[in-house]
Order: sequence, then structure tokens, then C-alpha cells
Amino acid sequence: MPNIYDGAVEVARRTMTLFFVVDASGSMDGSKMGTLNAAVEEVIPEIRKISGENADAAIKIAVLEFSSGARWITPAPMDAEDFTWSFLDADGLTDLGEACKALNEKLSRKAFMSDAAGSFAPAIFLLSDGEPTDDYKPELEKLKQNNWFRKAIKVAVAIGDDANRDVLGEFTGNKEAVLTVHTPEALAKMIRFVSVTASQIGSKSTGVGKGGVDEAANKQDEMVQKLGAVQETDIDDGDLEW
Amino acid sequence: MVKDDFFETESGFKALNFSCTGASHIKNNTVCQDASASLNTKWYSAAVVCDGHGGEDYFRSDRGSKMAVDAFCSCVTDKAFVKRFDKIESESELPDLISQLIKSIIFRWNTAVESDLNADPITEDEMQGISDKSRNRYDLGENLQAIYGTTLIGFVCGKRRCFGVQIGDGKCVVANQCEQMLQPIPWDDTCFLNVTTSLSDENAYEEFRYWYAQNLDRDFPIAVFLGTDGIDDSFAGDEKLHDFYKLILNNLAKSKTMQPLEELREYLPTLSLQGSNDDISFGIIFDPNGL
Repeated sequence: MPNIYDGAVEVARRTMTLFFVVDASGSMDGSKMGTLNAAVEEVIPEIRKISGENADAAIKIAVLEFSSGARWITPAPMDAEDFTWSFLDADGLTDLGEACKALNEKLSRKAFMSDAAGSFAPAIFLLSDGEPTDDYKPELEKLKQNNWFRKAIKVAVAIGDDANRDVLGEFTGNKEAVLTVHTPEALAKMIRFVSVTASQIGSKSTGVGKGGVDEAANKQDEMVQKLGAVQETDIDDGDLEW
Repeated sequence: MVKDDFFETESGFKALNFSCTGASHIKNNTVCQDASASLNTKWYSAAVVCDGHGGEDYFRSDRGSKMAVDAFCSCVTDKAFVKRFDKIESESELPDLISQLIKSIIFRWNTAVESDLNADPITEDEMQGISDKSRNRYDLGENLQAIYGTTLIGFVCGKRRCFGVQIGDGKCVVANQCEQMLQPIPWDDTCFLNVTTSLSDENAYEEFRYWYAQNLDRDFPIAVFLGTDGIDDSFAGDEKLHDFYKLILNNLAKSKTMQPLEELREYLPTLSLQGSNDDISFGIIFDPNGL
């Protein structure tokens, strides 16, 4: 006889949200934004595959673009299964403070983290090629107090030499989590590498970490280790330099 | 098997508990770190669920959770406690009784840990794989209790009085006379993602939270559900968790037998597999005549 609870209970898989925070300012126009759009679009099927095959957690995706202001492309985190990348245009300023504010608002149980029970800490992937044009510090400081942000895996890619690595390092919490790329090939490679690795590490259950051991910190360390290994070997092949 | 004695109760309530090994623990061949128990006496029914922290730094937390269950059960069956609980005339006496109970649980748990450490000293084998931070601390003999770290949720329901105590994560849900599902024990924001407060914390007494029914008509439970985080992590939010508990209540009310709880016992491994993958401990105290 079938069990009376089979099929009658709405069980949820644990989730991990991968946030893309994309600088869509005017300086990104041309090959930078073109490469970014193509690279993210290409990596989505791979994230979908990780999510589908991963017994520990399903992966959701959220996208925030910032230029003159900040705008959520996804009204809520979307299942990787259902997500398609909307090509972004580049125009306007680099309001990183606005992006921090928008992120802080949504990193809450009342907003994007409403599946909180059983969720893993998110992974946040920031891509930028420039210097913030707004007073970003107060909003970044507020964001740093956000528990979800503190526990998140955070990685930034600095696109070209005009990107301010110090600012990106402030965002990620350490400079080791900031990669610099100078060519479209390297950008595409790093988008793929960071998206896939952050998804794998972020959605993996370690089965440990209670009573004060910070599993999230361990995951950030693991991510930084992987970044360290790839930085030495793989960055900056290709001919066209930004 | 669950004994089918639905209407048999001395206290007016019935308590039952189950624990099962999580799907990921089965896969990784690790022991169940949860423990639970229930008591049915003529004064009250009670249940307790505990979740040992697991992981390499907490390599005896499976023992720790059992010790916590034993500590709770021994405290609430202690003659002094039973006598006081039975004689309580007003709700205003409960905070003091609960406070004493919490102190006793912590004391008995720490005593059990100490005895275990003396009887079975930590070996180098057990220390393999623990973090440097914990190794340095344990080498200095500091906070060895953490090795046994565990959460605890316990609830006691008598005819006229009821209360619950909790340290760490997991959820206690009360279905009250007004057919509301509530989580009356205050939440502790320190318990976030994988971090939880613990019986092994030096300030465990301050970290304990509790609740007692102040208004017998409005607050008094028809049923109380206790679950370690292996249960609530299997649901997308509190509403879905409450739906699960409502389903159990409806099944009980409809069948007027213990069969829905027997089926629940069989179902919990499936819940773990489809949901949290974690160990699960479940406790229920319900009024069979009130459903």
C-alpha cells in the first residue's frame, strides 16, 4: 500500500542562488559587453546541468545590472532550468553604490532569500571594468553587515586595467578573490570558470559546520584556492587587449 | 512499530518520537547524529529532539545528542521537578521552574560529557581531520564539550500547564485551540545557515529560549511538533512546514488511530532523501480527544 504522505507533501530541494552583478556602464560598450553576454549565455547550460545533477541543492540565478542606477534583470531568483540570459546593453555611469543597495535589499528572507530554510549561502559574481562614479562606500558598508552577503562566496572580475581592483577587493573581502583579465578570451574563460566553480562549491553540502564552524567561510577559502590555481596558468591568452 | 493505543492517555496528551538517519549520512556511511525521546506520565507528556553538530570537529556529537536527550528526560522525571510541576497554581511560577530545569539540563549534560571523556579518553585517531583551530583548542583541554555539541528542543504538556525550551536550530510548532500554527519559542538570529547555538557553548544558559502557555483558552496546544533542522530544511519556508504538520493532524483526526504516525515513521527517510538529506528527529505531543 502506498504511504499516505507520498505525493501529499510538498518537499523542497535546498537552493543556492548565483548572483551576477554586472557593470553595464558606457565603458563596457563594444567587445567587453559582447564577450560578457556571449560567455554568460554559453555557461548557463552548464550551470543548468550542475543544478540538475547535484543531489545537494538546486541552483537559482539572479542578475543585477548597474550603470546610472541599478536594475534587477530577474524579478526573483530563477531556477537554472528556466533561466535564459537577456543580452545587456552598455550605457551610463558606474553606480556601484546603487548596486550594493539593491543587493542589500534583496538579500533578505523577506525578498530573494525567502526559500531560506535549507538554503546554502549564495555566490555573488561581480564583473566591472571601471571606477565607481557614485559614493559607493556607505552602501557597501551596509551591505557588508548583511548576513547573507557575509556568508556568500564572493568573486569579482576586473575587466582591463581601468577597473579599480582595490574597490573590487573591498567588495569581495579580499584581493585574492579578484581576477583581472585583459582580453575577450580571458574574460570568457573566467566567466565560465567562476560561474561553474562557484556553482559547484556553493551548492555542495559539506555535512559539517555547526556549532560555530563557518562552512561559508570554508567555501570562500575553497573558491579563493581554485582562483589562485587558475590565475597562475590560464589568464590572458588571446591577441586583443583592452 | 507504533503501538495503536490512540485514546489511551493519563495526562490528556500523547507523546511520540522518531529519529532517522539522513540520506547524505547513509550515502557517506556516517552515523546518525540526531536523537529523540518521548515520555507519557500521569502528570504530563513530553518529547525532546536533539541534533548533534556532526562534522569532524564534533566527532562525538552523536553521543552528545543522546546525552542531551537523557539529560532532558532525567530532569523532567526528577521527583523534585514533577512535584513542582504538579503543584503549580499560576503561570507566573513557570519561568522559575523552567529556569531551574534549563540549569539542570546543562549541568547533567556537562556531567555526562565529563564522565564519557574520563571513561573513554579522546584518541589521536578521532582527532584526524579536525580543523587546526579546534585541534589547538582541544590540545589545551579547552571547551572539550564542543566535541559533543548538540541542539535541543524539549516540550512538556500537562493538563493545565505546558512549556517548551530550546537551544540551537530546529523548529517547534504549536497547533493551538484557535487552530493556528505558531512557533512560540522565540527564534535566535545567531542560528543562521549552518551556524547554531549549542548546549556545549559556555553561555548555554543565556542562549536557551523558552515559551509557556499563559492563556489556557487561547494558547493551549492541541498538538506540538518538534523537529530538528532535517525537517524544516526540507520545506520552502514555514508555511510549507506548517502544511506538513497540518496534514499529520488531519490524518490523525480522520483516522483516530496511530496509523498515520506509523506511516510517518516510515516516510521520514523519504522526506530526508527528497529534502534536506540530513538526519531527522521528530517529536509530537497531541491531545487525542481534542483533534
